[in-house]
Amino acid sequence: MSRDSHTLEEIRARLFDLSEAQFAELVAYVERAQASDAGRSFSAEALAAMRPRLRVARPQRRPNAERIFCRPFEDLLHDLPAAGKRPGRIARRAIRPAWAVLSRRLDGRLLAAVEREARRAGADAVDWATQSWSSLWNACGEAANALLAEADGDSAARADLRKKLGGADGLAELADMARMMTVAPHVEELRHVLSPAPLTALDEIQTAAVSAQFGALAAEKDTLWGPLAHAVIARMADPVALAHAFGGSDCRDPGLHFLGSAAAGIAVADIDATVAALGGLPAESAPAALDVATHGEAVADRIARLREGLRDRRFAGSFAEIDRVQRGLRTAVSQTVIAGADAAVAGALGEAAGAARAALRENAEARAHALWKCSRFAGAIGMDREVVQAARAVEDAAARIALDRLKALERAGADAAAGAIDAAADDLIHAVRVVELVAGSDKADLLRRRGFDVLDRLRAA
Amino acid sequence: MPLETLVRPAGADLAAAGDAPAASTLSRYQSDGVAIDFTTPILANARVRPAETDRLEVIVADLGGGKGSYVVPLRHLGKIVTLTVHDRTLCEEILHRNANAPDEIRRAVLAVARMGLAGAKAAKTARQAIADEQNERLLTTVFLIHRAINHAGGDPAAAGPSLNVLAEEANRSQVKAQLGQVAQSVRMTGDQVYAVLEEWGAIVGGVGVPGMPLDCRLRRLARQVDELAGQLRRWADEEISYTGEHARRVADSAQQVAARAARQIAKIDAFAVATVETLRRWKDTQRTVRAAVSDLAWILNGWEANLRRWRDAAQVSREEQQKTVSEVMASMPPRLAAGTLETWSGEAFALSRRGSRKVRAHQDWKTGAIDFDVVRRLESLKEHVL
Repeated sequence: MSRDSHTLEEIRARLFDLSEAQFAELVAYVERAQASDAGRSFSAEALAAMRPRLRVARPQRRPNAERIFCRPFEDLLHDLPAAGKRPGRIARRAIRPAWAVLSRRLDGRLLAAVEREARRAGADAVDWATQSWSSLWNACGEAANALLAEADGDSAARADLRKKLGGADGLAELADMARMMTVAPHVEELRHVLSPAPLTALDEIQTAAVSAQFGALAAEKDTLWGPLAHAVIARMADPVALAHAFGGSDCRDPGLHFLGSAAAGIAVADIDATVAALGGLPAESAPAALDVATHGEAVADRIARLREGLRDRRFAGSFAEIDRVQRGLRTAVSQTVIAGADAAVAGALGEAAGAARAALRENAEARAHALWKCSRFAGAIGMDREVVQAARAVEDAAARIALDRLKALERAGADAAAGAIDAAADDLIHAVRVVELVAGSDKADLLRRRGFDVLDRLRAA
Repeated sequence: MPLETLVRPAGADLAAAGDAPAASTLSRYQSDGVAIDFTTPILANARVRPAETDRLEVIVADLGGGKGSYVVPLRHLGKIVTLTVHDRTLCEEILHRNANAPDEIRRAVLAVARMGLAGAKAAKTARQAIADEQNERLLTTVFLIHRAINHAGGDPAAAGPSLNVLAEEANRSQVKAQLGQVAQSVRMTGDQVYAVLEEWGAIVGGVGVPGMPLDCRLRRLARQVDELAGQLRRWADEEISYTGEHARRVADSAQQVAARAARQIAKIDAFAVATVETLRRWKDTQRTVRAAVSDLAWILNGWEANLRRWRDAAQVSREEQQKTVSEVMASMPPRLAAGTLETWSGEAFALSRRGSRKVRAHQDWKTGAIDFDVVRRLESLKEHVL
């Protein structure tokens, strides 16, 4: 397996080096490996490693029955590792078990026909509007509903299905997939009217097309508008945009109004899921601190827009819910970015030497960098004071330790070893870089000047 | 001091503004200024040049996003822009050294980077670059001595001492004795010839002499610029947006520079080929050789940064590569960017620059606050060994 893991590393590292054509070729190769038992797990891992580029490049994938089944909800797929069913989204990990259960219930002739047609279509010229595929979606929807109905009536069947799908979340995901199957033809209609995800806003033509699809389903709006709304929302970069546009009571189109209201709910749920993922990151870790700081900025921005829309009555929602999400983000920031930042900086200016010291310093700089990033959105989530205090603590620790070391050398006078002076100069530069991040260039330059003055005196002596 | 007295707006056509003479193409290179690796985001493409008053001034592109440039005295740069600590130190270092030629500016940049102000990795690269430069100078001297001894012998087959022997400090007196023969023919003492060769080696250390097993820095740089032209052309062939046209233009410019550098290197090499003749007239040739090397540095000025940018872009997505090409395009003096010398102003110029300035996300460049994400990216450029 070591050769495979090496190959995976290679794929990860060189993901963006390949040309489009080479990448498409690689995807095709990895997918062919899926056919053999030996290659299956490698293929799955390789595709996971290639996911970042797959998401950007979207090469034509070789169609097969499973992929055709996924098509109506492919925009809804997410990869967050945290457990829990997210409204309006489907976890990618739920596909495999769900398809395993469903495909066993399907008519073998239908499956064979679909596979045959998929093979004939090849990757280049796929005509997705083919009739037999919508019959596959119908069959899958019916099978899923039948399974869920059986499970509802019989506790033993329920336990069995739960086990096969990997828990209660799996059941909920299957139910969502079934709902998406029922609106699959309408999603297909919209697919090429809407540009590929992420869309920032719907223009007039797109709005009209979406409205028409909602209108077509008006008779069954209680059951079918929900999944159709999910499909549209999944295309958007930020659902709040839809909520702003159509969530208000002044929206005359009932379908679009439904879409706007659903978008507000999903926006909150999305942010909630991201915040939960950030809250699960380990404390005292520089990469985690940078993650929280980077995503925190985007999340804080979304929270602010939600709050603004709510205040202007652009859509309905609860301030308490938004406050709860914001509290979650604050907890994540204070646990991963703020807590222990000064200790990390002080530790990097400690006695460690060599590679250990280099690692500590890199860590300390990353922590200071995360703190700087957080200072940019701290005001928006009401953390001004905490972040400023943490920055000051880091600044004090760095400046004090670096200057103390220099002063100690000065007191030692002629006894100070040349090596010790160089080490103290190194510490000073590191401290200057940390102070520059948390307190700005002016203060950092002041520290540098003070330090250099002492160093000049020491070197002259 | 009020700002207006510090900053003087200059037209996009700097050379024609009468700021600098345009007597030859080389002095045009000089009026473009020396490219310098500041880490303050807004100064990423700044250039430094000597002002009329013997002081240095910085050319900053379009503070407001327009197509003009600003010329700011180096001493007062900190009053216009919030500088990173690295850049404050660099300004002090340049003023302290009174540096104004590409090589001198480069040494100042390395000295500051070596302190670690641009991060530990950049410091390591800078230390390596300084050590390499010293070694190249030493090796060049050794090769020159080798040449001098062999030339005097007349018969290349009857080789003098091996290079290993020459490189040993302990063998110096022996080497000087062997230089006696050539010394006689140029009417100098062995000591004098040795001193001249050492001086010569120090001057051409960045270029080296023909036949060395490794290319010295400027020779290597010229080759890499030539390769860059090829890489950019291949990249442009796969590119459908207007960035492809920009890449081709940068490639054209790179090729011109590489060809010019190759001619200049041949000129410098000619002195080493005629070793004895050069030695005989060292008093005169010394100045010529020094000027030729300095010209070469001017010709290649700025391309080191472009190579670093391109190398940095090798591992990222196509979109980032497009941004990098635009950055390289924006960093080039307007005259070079427009392709030929004649078309660097007017409508055609404006058209050629369209879209060449892509703003990267999160650049707080108009608010005065420094965006340290961008600073980190600029610092990481210094980590590449060329």
